[in-house]
Amino acid sequence: MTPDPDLTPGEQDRLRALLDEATADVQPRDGLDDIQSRTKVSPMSASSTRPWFLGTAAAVLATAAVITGVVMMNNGTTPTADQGPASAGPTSAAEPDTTTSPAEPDSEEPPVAVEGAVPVYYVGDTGQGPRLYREFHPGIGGAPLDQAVTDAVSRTPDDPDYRTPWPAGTQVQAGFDGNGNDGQIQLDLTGVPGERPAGMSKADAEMAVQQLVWTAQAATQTTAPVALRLDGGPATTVLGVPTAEPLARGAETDTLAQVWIIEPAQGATVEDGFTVSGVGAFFEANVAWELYRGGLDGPVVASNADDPVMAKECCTMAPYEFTVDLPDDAAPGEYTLRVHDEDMSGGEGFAPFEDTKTVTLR
Amino acid sequence: MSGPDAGDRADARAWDADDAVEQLYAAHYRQLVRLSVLLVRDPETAEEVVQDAFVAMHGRWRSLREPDKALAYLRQAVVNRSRSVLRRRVVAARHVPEPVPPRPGADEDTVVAERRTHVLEALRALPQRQREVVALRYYLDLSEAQIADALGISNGAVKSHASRAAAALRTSLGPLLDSTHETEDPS
Repeated sequence: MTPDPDLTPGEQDRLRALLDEATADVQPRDGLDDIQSRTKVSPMSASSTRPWFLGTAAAVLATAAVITGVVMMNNGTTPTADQGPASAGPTSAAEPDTTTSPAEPDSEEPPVAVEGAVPVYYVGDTGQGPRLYREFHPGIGGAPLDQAVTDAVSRTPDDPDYRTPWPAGTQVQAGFDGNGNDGQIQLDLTGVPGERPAGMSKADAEMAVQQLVWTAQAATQTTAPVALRLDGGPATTVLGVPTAEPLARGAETDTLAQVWIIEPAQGATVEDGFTVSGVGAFFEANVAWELYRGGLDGPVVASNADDPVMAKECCTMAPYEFTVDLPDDAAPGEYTLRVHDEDMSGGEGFAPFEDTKTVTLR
Repeated sequence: MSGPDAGDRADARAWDADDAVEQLYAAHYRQLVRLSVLLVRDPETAEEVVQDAFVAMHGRWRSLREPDKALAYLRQAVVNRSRSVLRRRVVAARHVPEPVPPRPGADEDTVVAERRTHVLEALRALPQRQREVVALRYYLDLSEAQIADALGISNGAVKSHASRAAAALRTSLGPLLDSTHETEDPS
């Protein structure tokens, strides 16, 4: 006699009861505080975003205040100020045009002359946990390395979807011996615990350290190892992450968000037919995108359904570029651009990577 | 938008990501941790998995926006993350830890504790997919279609995993599954 492979209703009830019983003694500790401490920077809906120039001007002033409050320290060669965006990012083929990035605050006179753009990595939450995205900030003069790492630990990113996991009050002084890839970058941190603070996940702590490594390497246009020091001395751990040895950057696939929009930048003003560029690892190189009127809850006014887009290569961080042609009746105002991978995994993997930018149509 | 639940949706639209985390945490956190325990066994790991899922859901709230979708996303994230935790643990897990000896106490407690261990071990002995199907079907009471959706497999595949799991559990759980064999307090 072969028993029916499926469970009888009676057996099903028994199995339900057994599973309930098997987990009944699991009483999770309160996790809400931990979760909330990791989601403090809430991704604002695009429609609530302030005009970018106000935000940027304020941020530039704040950054300048922080920078001037820190003793500038730069061992050896100072990288030239006009080196522009780093080629140390995922690809050098996707350099943004800094003249159209939100580099010039509208009417506010920046405290220091704007000289080139400084690459800064930030953490964003993805379906695969925290990953790095990159912004370019207007240079404020002085060493790009100092500005970049200071921004990374203490400046609120322009994109509200990004955040810095470093504790408030973190300060950093940077030094680079100038020997290119054979050299060493030294970052002296203060105001940071050696151990992982309560409420910070291990993934966040690791990503915070990688954020500094990627930022420092991009700012020096090298892949030189990064030595982290704490309160003037060597540190065996920073935020609980081992730092006894100088650090290399993590693998792209494990460290970077796999879809970035580079242009337009958050808050940029655009015209019909504007160009979008970025890098991403897309399934079969298919770049999926939508432009929403207002926030992501608004209607889609244009998308890759009108105009299929392919990245240069499949499945690895590769450049992409497309133009957005708007319908004739598209009104000026705020739009949200979303670029993402398609979830072709059949649910096998995680939610697809994405990046979003709020833009203003002139 | 129209339909009977249009009003609910309008309310949910008013939630921001922080509200969504709070509301869904209050309603589902414990159950999701328990779901993950069925998949990964270790409660601490399960809590980490579920917290990560909530953080990810918060980050994606703008594209989810509805509590139903957010809950489905959380379930999927918990299953996927539990799976990758296990994958990372495969090497270490070759060395199976000794079962925790039942604490001295009332006989009844011992019986329940042993049964718990037995059930969790039986689940653990199942192939990954079968274990996921069993947990979603009999712990969360999801429909075949919901399971297919959460796991990204076809309804037919859900059926066949469920059948194979049923056969394996009949063997490993034996009399415990016998519906005439009632325990003292099944609820």
